[in-house]
Amino acid sequence: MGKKMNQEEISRLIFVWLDGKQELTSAEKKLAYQGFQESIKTAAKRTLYRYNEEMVSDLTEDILKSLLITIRRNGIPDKPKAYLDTTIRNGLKKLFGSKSDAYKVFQKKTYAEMLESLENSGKIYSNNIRVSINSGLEGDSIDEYSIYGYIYDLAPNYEKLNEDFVLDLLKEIDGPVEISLLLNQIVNYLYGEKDITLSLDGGDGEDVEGEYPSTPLPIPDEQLMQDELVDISLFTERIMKRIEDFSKNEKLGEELFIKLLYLTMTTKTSKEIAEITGIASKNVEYYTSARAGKSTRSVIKQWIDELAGLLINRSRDQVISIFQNEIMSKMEVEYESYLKGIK
Amino acid sequence: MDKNEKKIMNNQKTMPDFEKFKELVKKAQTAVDQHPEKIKPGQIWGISGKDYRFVVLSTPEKSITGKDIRVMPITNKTYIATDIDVILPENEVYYSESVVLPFQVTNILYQKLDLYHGEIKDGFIKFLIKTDQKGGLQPLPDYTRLGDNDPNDPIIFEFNESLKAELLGYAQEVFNQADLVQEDKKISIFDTVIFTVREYTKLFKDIVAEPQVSFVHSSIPLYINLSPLGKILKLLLNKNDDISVNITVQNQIPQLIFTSFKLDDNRVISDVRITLTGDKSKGTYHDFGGGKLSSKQIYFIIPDNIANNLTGGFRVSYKLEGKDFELPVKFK
Repeated sequence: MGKKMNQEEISRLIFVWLDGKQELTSAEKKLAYQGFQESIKTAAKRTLYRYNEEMVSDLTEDILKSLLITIRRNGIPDKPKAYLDTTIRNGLKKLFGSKSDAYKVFQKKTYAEMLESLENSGKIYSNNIRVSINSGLEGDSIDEYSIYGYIYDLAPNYEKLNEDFVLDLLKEIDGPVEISLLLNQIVNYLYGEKDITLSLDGGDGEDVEGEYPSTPLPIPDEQLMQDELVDISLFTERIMKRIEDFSKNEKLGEELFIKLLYLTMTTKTSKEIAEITGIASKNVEYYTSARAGKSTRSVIKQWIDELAGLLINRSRDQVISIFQNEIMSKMEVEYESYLKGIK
Repeated sequence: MDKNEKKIMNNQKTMPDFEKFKELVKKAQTAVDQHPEKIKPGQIWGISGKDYRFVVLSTPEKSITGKDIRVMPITNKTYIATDIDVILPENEVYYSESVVLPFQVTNILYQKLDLYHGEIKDGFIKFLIKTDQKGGLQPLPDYTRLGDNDPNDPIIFEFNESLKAELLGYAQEVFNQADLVQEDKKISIFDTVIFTVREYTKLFKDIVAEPQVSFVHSSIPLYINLSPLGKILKLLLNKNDDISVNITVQNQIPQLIFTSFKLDDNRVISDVRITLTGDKSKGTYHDFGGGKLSSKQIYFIIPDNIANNLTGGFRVSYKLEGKDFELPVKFK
């Protein structure tokens, strides 16, 4: 290659490579790769979030297939750079849609578990459809707009919207609420979506057309970090509760289960775990291997998936690292007597 | 997280490296240009523009139209996985983990499939085929797990509904194609009930068009089984409350089957009855009694006088946990 290629020519190389009719040199392929990488990074930067590597590989494969189908149907586009950028942006939008959906699903799960815990501790009543601070679950339940109004009023007083917040919210409402509406509106509030514009001056309460941002607004980094910390803290509380429940019901016994769970999060081998716990190696395999449906590794994988859904700005590696930091350090405090000497 | 950790994380790559990218280009070329000569179970196919893939469960040669195959959808959106969906490990169908939806299965004309994504492992395909044939989840293969998200979550519900609508569209195309098949070949559904191919496809088409069977009771779509000729033919009447209700023929014996999807199911089915609703034998019924779902599957043999007249229309009724259920099936 004698002269320096412009962006248009570099993008064209991607199409030529995919087309496969003309052999590219290794240097040209590298250039095409760099061009593709640049386009995807530019588009991703605009949306302020990061991806895990597997998802980017899936996305890249989809984009490449889409480009090749275009070539087979219509030949190489006249403006390859514009075509490539648009295809990448559309792909990212789809990925972002998935990530925000995952966020909502897992947030809702967090609050559903809080309701369950409040009910188990006798602080609220529920019939699985409605929930209330009082035992009377019959009668009119408030609508979603009013629920949003209560959340909107109450939430700013809380550092994090935890179980105390949910309990106080139900106290404020002081009547039956549909669980699904309540969960939807808490998540809408957290996600910054409003389906009603509230009249703050106590006006005539007229409904105003809903405002759903087509793509979520970029959040400043500081705020993002703050929100993440709250999400991580709520998630950690929830997982610690689940660990407690699991350990009590686990036939291995609480101490052994806690040790196995903790050690599964480390890089120790089955043999090393066997030596530490005194369990036979093959039994360690059985209880920890992802091969078994409810093994410690499977359970941890599932929890990491949930945390990944909540931390939409983080890559998989980052999520795993955060998970290990948070859960392992909490376990070290909570189960100090069991874990002493094996850290 | 301290500052150093943050720095390391921010520097982590999120793009595939050059070697991986070359592999992705190759995969894209294979997907679009290099299709296998024969479609067979275990292959993974897709349709351009769709964000799900299919795993193939049957061959076109054994289908009624000769051009359709039975497929199960798979997506990499793991957050939609509920407790009847199976999560497969990374690098199995997608690079990321994927969710197979065993009860969103459909038939599709194979010409619709234009992207080839390779093959799924032998152990997984055996599990999926068996799950499809039995109408209930089979013991999970190694390295898989069930989801645990709420099927009634609006996002998951909408995903399932919209996928269901698309899959029914593909099935509809198969029905239309089957209508064009002019063979007068006879096939047997219930031992003594003989249908032509055309009548058989009409039977299923009418069931799909009958909302009280397919949609009232369930958020999960009607299970449309156009199993290959000579194999077990099965009608799923309902799938809800963690059980499925099927009518099937095994070893030439027509049976009504209740299958539980709960791990430890202590519930009891009672007052099971089939009542004929067709003009000729309206009101005729047979009581089957009941049984415990702890046995996972309860089989009732349908007597001849009922089996011979099912095509006139019938109603299955039963009690579960004291609640009455009625599943009316009408044929036009």
